Amino acid sequence: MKQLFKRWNVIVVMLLIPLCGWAQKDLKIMALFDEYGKKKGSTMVELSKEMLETYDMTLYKSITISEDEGAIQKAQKYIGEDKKKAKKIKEVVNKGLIVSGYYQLVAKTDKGMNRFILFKVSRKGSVSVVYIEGKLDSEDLVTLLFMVKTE
Amino acid sequence: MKTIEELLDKYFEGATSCAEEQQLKDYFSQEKEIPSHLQAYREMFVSLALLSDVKRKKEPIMIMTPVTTTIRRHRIFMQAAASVAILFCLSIGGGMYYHSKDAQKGYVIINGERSTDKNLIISCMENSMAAVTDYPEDVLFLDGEYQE
Repeated sequence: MKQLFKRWNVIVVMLLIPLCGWAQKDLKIMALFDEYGKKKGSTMVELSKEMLETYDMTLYKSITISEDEGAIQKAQKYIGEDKKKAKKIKEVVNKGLIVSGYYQLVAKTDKGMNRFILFKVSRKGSVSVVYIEGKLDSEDLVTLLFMVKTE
Repeated sequence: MKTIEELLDKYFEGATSCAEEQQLKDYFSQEKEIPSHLQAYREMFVSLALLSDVKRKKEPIMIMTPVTTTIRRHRIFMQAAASVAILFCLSIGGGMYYHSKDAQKGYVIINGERSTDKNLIISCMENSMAAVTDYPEDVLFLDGEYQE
């Protein structure tokens, strides 16, 4: 009987191994990437491993969707769901709707690993979402944003 | 005694019942004196009686058979479960490998068109980062700060 349980444990472990490391999969906002990533009017970016290392990240995904009211509404809805998992939130709300938001999420795996969602609806009507995972903290993120702004 | 002789005749004619055969075996297996003209049959019936005993002793092995079948069933079930687990792992693992291989290269998709040009990827990444904030310092989360 013990042997039977040992075998079952091995099978259960084998089933769980592939599920490890899918931290971003628990986020609703990922549906926006799947739905709009390949559509006209969208720009979706995912960085290579080599590029990620230079920014101290393990995952970078961003999407910008221009002039799509449906996408904006969906993004706001998804952000509203995902922010429940955030430990730190900064957001601007206009007429009850999130216009921009910065969220630091609860780390799912390693203790030193941070997860951020950056979200903004521009005045021109485009929506941008950036998802970052990595050992960088919010100060590193600000530095990176300053670098990008000045370039 | 005549009965035994009659039974022997019947036995060699192949007309005895199981009970009559048992009677013969019992008779020749007993330790008491057997008439000399019947001694020749004694060895044969004692041997037959021993053979029946051996057969009877083998019967418990027949009872064990279902246990063996159960173990075999368990083994088949475990093998099937292991196969399903391996297939599941391979499919998920394959998907993840494909995804990771895809992500390892890095890419940008603009209006449905995919590119792996490094400069274009960096340029689009910078545009996205610039688009999410007008004031980078807004992103700074101070310790203990929680704003909504």
